[in-house]
Amino acid sequence: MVLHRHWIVIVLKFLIGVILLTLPAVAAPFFPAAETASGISQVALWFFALIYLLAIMVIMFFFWIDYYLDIWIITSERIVDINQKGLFNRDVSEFMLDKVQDITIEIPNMAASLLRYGNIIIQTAGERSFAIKQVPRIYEAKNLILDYTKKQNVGAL
Amino acid sequence: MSFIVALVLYALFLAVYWFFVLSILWHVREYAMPQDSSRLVIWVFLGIIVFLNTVSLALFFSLPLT
Repeated sequence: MVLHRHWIVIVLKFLIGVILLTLPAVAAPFFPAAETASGISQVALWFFALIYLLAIMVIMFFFWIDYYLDIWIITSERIVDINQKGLFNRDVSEFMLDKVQDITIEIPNMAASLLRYGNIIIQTAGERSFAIKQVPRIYEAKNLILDYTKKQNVGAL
Repeated sequence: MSFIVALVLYALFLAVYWFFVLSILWHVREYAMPQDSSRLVIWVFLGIIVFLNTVSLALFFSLPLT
């Protein structure tokens, strides 16, 4: 089972991006007045507006890649956590399912209840707890982890 | 003279910009899961970025610089 964060996480970020993208269109009617007042030509103002749009676009692209490359893979033996941190920093950690001791499901707010996503916190035999954050299908994922864990523990006996 | 300075600054901006875009594309090529809808998102982003770049290039050469 491959899990990404819920789509609402990226939609909220994109919504801010879209609002920022519309700002030059809002400012455009004032360009002639700005030209008269400051002497900067409208072509230059449009040029700077485009540079601004390009910057916003690449930031949105960056947010998307950050969202898209955060992955949790649940297999019958282990859980792999791939965490993209920025563009050039990437963490890949994994742990065996026979170390699972306790699984907690957390639905943090109303949006999470309505959109059916949440956090899965897995307590392992080590000191470290492991969190799968803002993922959809949490109950399905939790049951799968429990099933696989049981099989691992039965197999170990 | 101001045209040369503006051209150098613009070229530097484009170089840094495309470094980031190509880095993102490299990450997608390297780490993307097969058979998902990521290609559509990538093409939409790339299409908009290439379009905006082309328009900015045209505007740059229309700037009243000497």
